[in-house]
Amino acid sequence: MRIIIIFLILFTNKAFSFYIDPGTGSYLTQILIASALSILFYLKNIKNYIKEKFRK
Amino acid sequence: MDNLKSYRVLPSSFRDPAGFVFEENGEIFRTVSLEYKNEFECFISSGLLDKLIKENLIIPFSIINNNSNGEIYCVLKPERINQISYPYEWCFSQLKDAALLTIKIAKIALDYGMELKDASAYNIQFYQGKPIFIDLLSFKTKKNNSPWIAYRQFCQHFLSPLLLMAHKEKSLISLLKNHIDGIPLSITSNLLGLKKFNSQAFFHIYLQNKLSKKDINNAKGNKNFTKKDFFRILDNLFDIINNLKINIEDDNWSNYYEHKILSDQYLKSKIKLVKDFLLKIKPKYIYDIGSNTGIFSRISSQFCKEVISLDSDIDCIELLYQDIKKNSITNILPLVVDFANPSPSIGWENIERTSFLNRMKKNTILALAVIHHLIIGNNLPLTHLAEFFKKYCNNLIIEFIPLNDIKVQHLLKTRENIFKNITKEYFEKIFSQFFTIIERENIDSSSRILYLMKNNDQNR
Repeated sequence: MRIIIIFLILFTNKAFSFYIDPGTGSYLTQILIASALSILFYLKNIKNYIKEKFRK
Repeated sequence: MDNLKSYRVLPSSFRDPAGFVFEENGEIFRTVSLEYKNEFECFISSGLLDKLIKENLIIPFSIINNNSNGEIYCVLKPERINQISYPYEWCFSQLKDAALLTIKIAKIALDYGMELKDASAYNIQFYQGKPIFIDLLSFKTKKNNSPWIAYRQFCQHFLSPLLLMAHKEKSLISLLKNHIDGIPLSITSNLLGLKKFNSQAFFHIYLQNKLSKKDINNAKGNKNFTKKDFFRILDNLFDIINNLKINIEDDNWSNYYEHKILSDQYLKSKIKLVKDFLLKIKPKYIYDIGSNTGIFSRISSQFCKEVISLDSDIDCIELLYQDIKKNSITNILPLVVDFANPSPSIGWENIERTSFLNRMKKNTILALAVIHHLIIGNNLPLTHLAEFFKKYCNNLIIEFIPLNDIKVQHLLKTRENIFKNITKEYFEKIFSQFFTIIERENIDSSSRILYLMKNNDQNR
């Protein structure tokens, strides 16, 4: 869900102005990366689980 | 130290309200402000400081004054760094090791309930052959579930130059001279071209740059960033940087001594003479100008406290750094410095980060097989060179290379010889204005001469 919101911001939000705090974008980037990495982590777990099942 | 009257605050120390760095009687001290008192006590009581000291990750220090004095809570005396260097003087592996150290410290801090609030490359120095963290006031208690406050700074100071060096051009590290707070993500993103879409750069550079240009409200109010998320970001940055590599070109100077020296006999003779001269003067610090891959730096390091090896060729410095790492040599600091254009002073009032020449210690200079490059390659008059050495060293070991030398002839192949006056007699006449020639020895199998000179000014 967080990823969808951030992508919506990326493609819809207002353009750059000199009074924008770039730190806010950095916060969002980290949230996005952390979300992507946690999804990868769970996918890896599922893949390992399935591999184990087939081995048995 | 009881009353801080005669101190000089370092011009690089004004950004952090937690304290400042000052110099008194040639010693460096760091104050801790009352405002930062609780955080500093937490840094010690949490066990984080002990852990970082134990692992040799942070500069050791002693608390020399813990009586509150006005706005100062206490004064710290860190171990002295012999030669201060800045990131634009490092090779790829030095910057990479500094980046990995920063992440390692950020992860340890998190384990102890604290956060690294600054991720500036200027917080790292090279100490006994390895990078070390020097900012003792960069830690704050982690209070809420928010992302890493220094993330953007880390990407600008470390990830940006490393990606540019690995994927585009090693010399792009010099962009850090123009951008004191790291290479802006927009520049990195543009210069990376299509590489900005690869897995190393897409999120941390391209996306961060895009999102930073959007007007977003209340993003910082997001409290769902867990400790696990924090670790995932740090681990991801660590993996990306750890996997970055560069290619070392097999030409220019990096194979100079292996392939291009005049002869083995010449090299052996020169090594013997340099050793003899160094035994005579017993220097504390040696600046090896035009060090190449450091053959003479390694020899000199046995005769002094520290050698600072300087070369304009980033590949040479890279090879030397890798070698001192591999052999655990602790008293050689290789730096990328071009003496025809040394690092300038940059930052606020042009004094925040001082020039390389300003940071040099006046001691001993080794100038072997280098002055012909400065004179012929840069049209530098011999008098300028002699005046330069007079300003920056007490002892000088210098190799004179006459015009009939095969390497000089090579340099003059395609240009007019306007250097006909550069003879041994003229060289000695010019240098004798500022130096006393102590020794003068011919190097075997060549027409080159090695001189040991003493600065006439050194006792003034």
